[in-house]
Amino acid sequence: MIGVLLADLIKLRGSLVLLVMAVPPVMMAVLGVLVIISGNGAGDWPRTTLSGTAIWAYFLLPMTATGLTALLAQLEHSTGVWSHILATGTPRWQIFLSKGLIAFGLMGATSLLVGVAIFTSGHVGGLVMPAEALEGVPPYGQVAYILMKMWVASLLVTAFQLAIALRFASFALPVSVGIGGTFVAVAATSSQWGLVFPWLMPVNVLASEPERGLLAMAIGGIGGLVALAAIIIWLSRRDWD
Amino acid sequence: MTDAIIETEHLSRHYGELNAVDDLSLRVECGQIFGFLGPNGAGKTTTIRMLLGLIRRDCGTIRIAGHDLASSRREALARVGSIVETPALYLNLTGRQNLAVTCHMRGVDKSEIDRVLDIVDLTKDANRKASEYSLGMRQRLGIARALLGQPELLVLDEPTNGLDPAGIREIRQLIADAPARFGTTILVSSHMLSEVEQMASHVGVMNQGRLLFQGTLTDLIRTAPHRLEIRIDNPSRARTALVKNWPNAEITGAGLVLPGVNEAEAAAINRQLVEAGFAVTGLAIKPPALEDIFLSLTGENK
Repeated sequence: MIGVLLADLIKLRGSLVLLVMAVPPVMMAVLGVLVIISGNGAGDWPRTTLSGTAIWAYFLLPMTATGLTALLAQLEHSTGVWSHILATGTPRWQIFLSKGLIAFGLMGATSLLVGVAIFTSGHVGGLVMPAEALEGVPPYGQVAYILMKMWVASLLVTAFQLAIALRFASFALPVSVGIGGTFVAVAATSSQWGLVFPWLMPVNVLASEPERGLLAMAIGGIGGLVALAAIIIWLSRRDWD
Repeated sequence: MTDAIIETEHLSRHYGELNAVDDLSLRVECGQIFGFLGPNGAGKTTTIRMLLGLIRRDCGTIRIAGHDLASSRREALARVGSIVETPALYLNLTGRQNLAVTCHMRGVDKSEIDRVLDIVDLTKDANRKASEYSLGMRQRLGIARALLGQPELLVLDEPTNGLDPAGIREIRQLIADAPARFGTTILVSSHMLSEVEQMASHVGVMNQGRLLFQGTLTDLIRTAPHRLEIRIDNPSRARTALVKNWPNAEITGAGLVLPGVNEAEAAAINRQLVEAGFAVTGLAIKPPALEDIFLSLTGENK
């Protein structure tokens, strides 16, 4: 299994996957600095960083899950690649489990970079425009905890996007589903369906009602692991023509 | 009897009404270069995909190096290197990194990479990205990858597809040398008889999902009906004299050609002609061209 994971990590070298990982933190950093120096920011660390996590949860996280999983799967969808790796004799469950773990891991790493970007933008904004420097103490621990909960809650949508991306060779299909899901999520925020809509799980972590946040963690986290197990069984059993 | 590296019994795969592979019992023995022949759509690739565990079979069994593919998939496929369709490479990686991926997947020591790069003469290009490789280089890298871990069996599906003549010759030579150099058995599929003829010691001919022949090339030629060529003073009269027993006799230049004649029959025909007063100046039994046999087996000469 370690060998399969190492093989999947090598495949990322020079691929667009790493570029997609870099986009959200760069966007968050640039946006954060611009908001602070424009004088239209919240003015203090807690509210500014919370806004950053909300932007991540609403838009950038689901879009990142879409892009990462689609590109990860595209590495294997070139002509004959599936045939090659499935004919190596490596147990199929290991091949698909590795894909899931890599996708989850990349989302975790991107979340970490987003956290770094949120705080970096706060500090850089204060340095560029001292008059607009954020007040208070940077809430490192609190933001890290929120981002971690968002990552757990995002496992379901990541697994779902990965399933579509692995099953269908088309790049357009998983990307369309991801964009669609993200936009439907905006409309579904206040509806009852919003409680169980996979794309909203990371947003629900920010809900003022603690039960809603816990439910998001449970559905997103446990659901993500169950979904990954289902994907492994589903993809392992099918023919690869 | 030599050990079989591939053994299938009553292997079948259907797609709806189509019998892609029908009751295939194939035996490839260690050390052979087995040419798997058939026109496009004959069932070769479906068979290869079943041999590699990529698609399920409807019925039948597959044993590779004595391991049943259904119950011991990992043990069976650990002995096989393959190229199916095209050498599928990660174009964002270098040649060496592509090989490293497979080393990790198969649990093969990385020292193997230099060995296989040397075999396919890609050592100096190993650190270039695969996207910069020519089609021939990609094919060679695909073969290098298939050779990782010193497999007992190489399965190559149409390995010269799309290559220029120089590339075809290079790959053909590599395949022809493989059993002696690496002790590897090779199953190579092709729809081109001329190509297989130059590499294979044994052939299997498939058409419409069925195996029509398997054996050596010599056997294939021997079992096919030969033709008798006769040089004679009056071909037209001779043909009339033979027409009762040999209605297919044809006049060609200064003689006759009689298809489907064996040695005993040739002696009888000669006797008949001489007794009838003809001057027979030449008599030769000629094997049919391999291509004619192939076309006759696959029904493509109709």
